[in-house]
Amino acid sequence: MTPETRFQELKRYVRFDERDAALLAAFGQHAAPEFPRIAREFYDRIREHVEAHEVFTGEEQIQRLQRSLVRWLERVCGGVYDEAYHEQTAQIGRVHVRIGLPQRYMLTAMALIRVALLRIADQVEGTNAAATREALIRILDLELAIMLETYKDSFVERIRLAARQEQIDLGNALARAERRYVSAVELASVLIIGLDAQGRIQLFNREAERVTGYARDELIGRPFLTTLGADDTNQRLPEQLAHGLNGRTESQVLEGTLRARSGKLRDVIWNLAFAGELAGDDVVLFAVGRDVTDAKAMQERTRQAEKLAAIGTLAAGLAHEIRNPLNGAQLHISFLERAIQRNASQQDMLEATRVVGDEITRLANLVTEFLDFARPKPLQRNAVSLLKLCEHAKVMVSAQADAAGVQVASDLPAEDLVIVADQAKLLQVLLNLLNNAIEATGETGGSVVLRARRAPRQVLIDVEDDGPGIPSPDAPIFDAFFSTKEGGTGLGLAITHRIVTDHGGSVDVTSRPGKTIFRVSLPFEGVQEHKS
Amino acid sequence: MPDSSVSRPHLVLLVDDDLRTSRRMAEMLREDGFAVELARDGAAAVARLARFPLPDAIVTELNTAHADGTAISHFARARNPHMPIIVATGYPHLFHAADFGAEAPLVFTKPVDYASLRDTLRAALRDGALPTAAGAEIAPEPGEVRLESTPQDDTGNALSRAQAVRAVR
Repeated sequence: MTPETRFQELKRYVRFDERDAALLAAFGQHAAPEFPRIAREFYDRIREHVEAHEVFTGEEQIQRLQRSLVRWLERVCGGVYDEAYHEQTAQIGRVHVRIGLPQRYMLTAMALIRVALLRIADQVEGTNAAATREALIRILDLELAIMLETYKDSFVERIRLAARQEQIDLGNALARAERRYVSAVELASVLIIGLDAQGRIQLFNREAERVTGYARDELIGRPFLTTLGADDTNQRLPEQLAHGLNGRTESQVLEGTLRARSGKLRDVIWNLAFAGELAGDDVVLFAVGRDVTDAKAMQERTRQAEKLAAIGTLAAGLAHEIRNPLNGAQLHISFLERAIQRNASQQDMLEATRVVGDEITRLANLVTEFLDFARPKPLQRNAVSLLKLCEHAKVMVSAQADAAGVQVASDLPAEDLVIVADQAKLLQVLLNLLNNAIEATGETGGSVVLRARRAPRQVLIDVEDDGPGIPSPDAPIFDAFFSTKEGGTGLGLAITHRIVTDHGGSVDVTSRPGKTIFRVSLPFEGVQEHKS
Repeated sequence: MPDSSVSRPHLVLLVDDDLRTSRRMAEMLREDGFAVELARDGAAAVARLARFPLPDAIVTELNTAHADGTAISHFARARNPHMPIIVATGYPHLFHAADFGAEAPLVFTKPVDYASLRDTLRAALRDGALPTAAGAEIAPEPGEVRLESTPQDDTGNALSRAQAVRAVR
């Protein structure tokens, strides 16, 4: 025996049997003329209700639906209630689900149909009326049961879809949150280094990579303090880290240093944040650092400039007052010289007055140079042709070079470079460097090269000589009053350095026996407008 | 100065508060053929310039009492618009050529080389033009040299006064 189908089971439940089928078939014969009216009234009723009416697309559709309602009535009262019948009813249910007809309207609509059919049964069935009513009630409720089942199937399907969507959304939200935190850590302009309980690096952000010059995969898992040399100078950092790694939880701000890959020390202000148990992660401590190396250097430069300005004010007043007595001394020396010249026998006295005269001149030059160093005039920036400047400097030192037996060559770009600068001061820089070079090679009668060329964002001016080189390369040659030359004021390179840095450039030196290069780098921003 | 060049030595007025040095310089200038008068401050210089005969040239400090070198020069030029004026000063930063109008003076920074000053004076009084800056050994403060007005012209001869002045601005 084949198992009972759901339809068979439902029919058994409401006791729908062959007698009901026969009664309905007979009723169908009698009531058929009334079906179009029932259908019309049914849809007229729906028109009165906004939400029910909204599922319709137009009058044409309603006409079609009326015709299919008539067919349905004919089928319900057709006398054949097999599995095909069940399938057709389920099909109708699915259509209702698809067009989004609310269940409450299906139930109440069925009431309309029911009332209409029961009235007809009462009028036309005579003695069979009561039994026919029962049959109608059974079959109509079977209809409802089957159609509602399709609603249930659709509902289950919808729940499943919704659940799946929720899962996807949740995943998206998690991924989004993670991306957000990663961006925050990576884009932050502070160093963020996460340490595990053993003080090993577990997190190393982009700024940390930039400042230290290490890539994160080189450092992950390595001990923070020793690897980055952070324990070199500041004992408090290791101390505080140890406290933090042992579970202390307050935040700490302290200064320290880092040794970058290049070996250079960077000053960093650390903010130690102890995550501890909160983290739920192997990272228990975050070291958040700000690289203050450049800011500190800037402060130092400002302090240096202020100090120089103060010295300059004091010195300038004094220097001016020195010039007047020097003037008297000079003139009297000239007078003495003239008097002595008249007496040929006093040659050594003449020599002595000349020495005094030379010393006075030297003092006067020192005063002038010192004033220039201590109280430089503000830069007067104009468009400067580098080619002309170099050629001019070369001409101006030619007499000195000839006297010393030194060859001065120039190596200049074919196309002129124009920079915005103080022309007279740059000329002074070139003259200082060329004079130094000529003096350095003078003893060996060597050669000096003045070279200019362009770098991406700079112009580079080199003064190269083949002299014996600077004796000790670490000597503070750019400091004021440092001089290795007999008779030098020790201010030439200091002034050079000051002029170049005032222009936002830099000057440095590489030296070995036979090759010494002073290199001046000046900022260059492409084609420059002439500014007055 | 049509008559002075033949009949009498050129008269130079020296203005400086360092009288001891001024006297010595006057002595040397006289030996070299000039007539020299001294003024120790601006008031004395202006008083002297109010009298005839006017000096043929002035050598003045900028920082002088009662009236400064600029004021003295203004007064002198009011008397003779083409009077050669040489500034010899320990305070070259006080010098602003614009204060002197079209014919700005040459500036010597102290200590002054006597021979250069004398030669400059001679040249100015001979032909009314100042000699080349190279010959005059002007000691401009570093940074005052301008490329476009290098104090040497094509022939290597004397520059006009205006050119020479640009050389030290």
